[in-house]
Amino acid sequence: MSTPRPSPFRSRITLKRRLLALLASVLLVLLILVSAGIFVFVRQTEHIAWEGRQDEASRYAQDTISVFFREVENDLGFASTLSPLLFQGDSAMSQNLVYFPVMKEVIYLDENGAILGSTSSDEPVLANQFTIAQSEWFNIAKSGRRYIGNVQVSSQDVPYMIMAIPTPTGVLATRLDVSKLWTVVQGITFGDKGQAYLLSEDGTIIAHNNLDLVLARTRVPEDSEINKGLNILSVWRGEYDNLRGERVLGVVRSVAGTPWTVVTEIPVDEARATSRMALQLLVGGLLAFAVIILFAGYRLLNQFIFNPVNNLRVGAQKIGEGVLTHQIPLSNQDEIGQVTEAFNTMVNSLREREDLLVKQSDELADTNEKLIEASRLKDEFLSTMSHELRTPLNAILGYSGILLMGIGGQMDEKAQTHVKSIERSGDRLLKLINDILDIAKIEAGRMKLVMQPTSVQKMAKDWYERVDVLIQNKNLQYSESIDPAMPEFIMADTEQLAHIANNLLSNAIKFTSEGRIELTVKRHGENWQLEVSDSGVGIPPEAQEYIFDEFRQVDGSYSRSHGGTGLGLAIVKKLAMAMGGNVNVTSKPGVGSIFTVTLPLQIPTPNAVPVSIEVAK
Amino acid sequence: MLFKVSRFSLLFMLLFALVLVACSSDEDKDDQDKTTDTPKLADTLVIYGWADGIPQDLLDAFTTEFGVKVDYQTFISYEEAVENIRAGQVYDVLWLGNYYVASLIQEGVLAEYNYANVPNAKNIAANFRDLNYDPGNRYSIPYTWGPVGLLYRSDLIDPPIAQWSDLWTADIEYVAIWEEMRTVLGLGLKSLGYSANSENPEELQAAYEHLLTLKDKWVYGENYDPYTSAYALADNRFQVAVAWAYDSIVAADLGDNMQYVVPTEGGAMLWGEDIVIPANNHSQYTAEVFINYLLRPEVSAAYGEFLANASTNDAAREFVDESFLSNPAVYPGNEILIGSEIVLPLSPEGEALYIELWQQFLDATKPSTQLIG
Repeated sequence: MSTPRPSPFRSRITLKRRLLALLASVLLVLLILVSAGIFVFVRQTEHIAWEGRQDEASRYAQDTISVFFREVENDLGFASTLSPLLFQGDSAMSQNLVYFPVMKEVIYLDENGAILGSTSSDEPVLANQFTIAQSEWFNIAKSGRRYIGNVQVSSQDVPYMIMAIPTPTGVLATRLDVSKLWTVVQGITFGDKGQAYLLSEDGTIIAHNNLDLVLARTRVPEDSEINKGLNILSVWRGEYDNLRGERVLGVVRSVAGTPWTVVTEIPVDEARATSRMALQLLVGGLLAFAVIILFAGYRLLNQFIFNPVNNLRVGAQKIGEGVLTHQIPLSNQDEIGQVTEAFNTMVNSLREREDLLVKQSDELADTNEKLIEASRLKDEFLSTMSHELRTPLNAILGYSGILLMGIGGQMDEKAQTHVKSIERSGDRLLKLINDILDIAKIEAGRMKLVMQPTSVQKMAKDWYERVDVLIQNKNLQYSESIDPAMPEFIMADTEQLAHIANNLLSNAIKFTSEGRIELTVKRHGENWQLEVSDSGVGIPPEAQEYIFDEFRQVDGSYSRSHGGTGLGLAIVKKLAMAMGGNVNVTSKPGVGSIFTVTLPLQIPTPNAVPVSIEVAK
Repeated sequence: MLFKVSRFSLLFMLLFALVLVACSSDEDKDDQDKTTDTPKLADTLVIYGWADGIPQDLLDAFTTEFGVKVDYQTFISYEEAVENIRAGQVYDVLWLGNYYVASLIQEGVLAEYNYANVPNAKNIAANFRDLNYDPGNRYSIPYTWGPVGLLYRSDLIDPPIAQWSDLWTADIEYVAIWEEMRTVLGLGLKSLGYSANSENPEELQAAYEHLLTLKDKWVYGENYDPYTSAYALADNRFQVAVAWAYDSIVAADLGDNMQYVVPTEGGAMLWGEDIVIPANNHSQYTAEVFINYLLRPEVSAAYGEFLANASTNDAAREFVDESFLSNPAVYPGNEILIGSEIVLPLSPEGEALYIELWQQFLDATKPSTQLIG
């Protein structure tokens, strides 16, 4: 085969790959949609759950801190009703601090900052301060406002917070034990890493799990989202980066009754852990599932579709190559299996047909050979016969002639008549044989035309001379006309043209009892025409069809009533055609006939020489 | 067949891996990204302070430990320093009288402390925390403090001087003062029983006029080396000088004829010196590290001893020499402290008033005063 076989790789790009790619994309889309959908759902549920938990924790934190603070306020309020004199020196009131467990030190001041009385359960701090008049806590309280300080840590790492309130006599200040507050705040946990911390009014951290942040007096940065929730009445919820740089979900809530704000945070990672894991599991599981499906799909497609189809393809190729014995293996009875079966049947019938054709072809070849042999034999026969037939015929004619010439003795009239009969018959036989041989020669393709420059006038004269006697005998008028447009010389085979003319003229003479016979040679465009017209019996229309056939005469019979062999017109036609022309007849019964031979006109060139042309069969 | 199958499964393994990585990378990113990036120390630290304001070996020890060189620049007065700060000069650490801190805070030329870098700030005594000129110590850390007093020739003056008002009654020829607006106007106010932080125009005017009555007696101290009026006093260039603890210590070494006293009129006048970080600095972190170093108990103690100043550092007390602790010039006792008054910042209007009066005082006293010694 000339077409190259496509490589196995390229052939697989089309259907199989497309199917698999389609399957893969569908599975992928499904995977993404399902995962995304479930993930979103889980995350939403998760979010709501965490929000709830956080809210709870935040509210609990708020309540607890609020309680703590109220305790302090109450204590301070009560203390402010007491006389500072009770707190001078080492009085029994020092022990009263037991009733204010959160307060480590209480100090009463006048409006100038002079100490009116104080008591402390540990080393006094406020009472030892000589900068009271310049202290912020004193000045704020003196101006009539409540002061709540941020957490301070002493050089002994003891944390404290100063609170001061105005009194009628001046200022009452206390040093609070914040460790209790810290315990409260640090105890607020939820989840694994959820925690709470406390911010003062200006955003400073005053309680936190991470003490370093408190000691560092860390303030919430101005650009932090937490600020949105500072010192507002409502609760603020949001996702942001906290002070340690972790991404968290936070709830910021003001602690009622205090200037503080409590923040509860849960790392986003923890809050989203469930949904993330769900996503990972989902994606992993679905992917594995998809891979399995693809695997299985691939195997199944191969087994049931692509391999059988490939077998069909191979089979078709083999037929194209001419191998008709190939049978495609049958795997099952499904649609493709049926196609395979039909295919195999087709191959078989194709093969049988081819065998048959081969046989017929052989037979034809045989027959052809025989025909050729037969034709060859016929020609051989004819040529042998021509010689065999002519030889005795010549004897008959010769001797008849001799006898009629009186050689061998003068014959009586009766004898002469008989010998003339013999001679006539001989002539006819000879003519018949010549005609037959001519035809055979033409048909065998062994007719050779010798074209040579010929004088038209001379030819016409020769033709007349050959039939002159016959015309005279019948008292017919003869006229001849040559078209002036005819060239003087034409290329023609004189002998064959003479044969044609002779046949036509003979016929005209034969079938005309009285009247005239005309011979016309005229130019007809690229051709020239030889016309013989007579005023004879004419030819009926139906007979005009077959008069040019071999052995046929006008009356349709093969009889010899009018003499002749029945081959004359056939020869005329065959010769005319051999010369590249044709012959036809116009006739009217009772009026006459005109036979026209049309031949190609070849004007000889000045140096024309005879040319011999083999007539194609 | 096998080979072609694996091509597909490869694709899916890849997808799978990608998704997993995408999911897990969320967590990784959070963890490693947010570890606190420790800031780097600068090569050089620029300190702006008094000449001889800090012992060199403390600076050297700092350089040795932290690898930071120190460029110590000096000013003659707080006024000069403030002018330069306002002009936009770049310093990392600045010693500043506490009464200048408030206005500089308001002008926004001071940086806010990041106490995460100064954990030793807990050593600051409660007395110096949360004062009303800088609530919460956001911009300043008080470092040293002390009383303002008088050093006088006890052998030449009798009865002994005890209060500011004694300057007007004692038999003195010359009194040395320095070009410190608040100190001078302050003692004027206190001599009349007023607060040294008063913004009352009448009180100020009265103080100003009262001071002017001694116009001929005021002389101005110079840039002595060492920086104390004790020697000049011993030379009788003047008989009284507004003096600080350091002067009293030098005087004690020179002999018995000089006495230091802290007047308690209107409350003893206390000065306080804070360390601040200008907003225009090279490296705030380096400054904070240095300040944290200064707040180490032993460093604070050494510093205090060098300058004979009381330290605000509670934890330093145990490292301070006993002689200082018991020296009332350095660490005044409670009888002085109670009711004492730190010279604090004024409101803009009050400040303007002070400046005006001070300028007039200078014009009145400086040209006519001959600098003796």
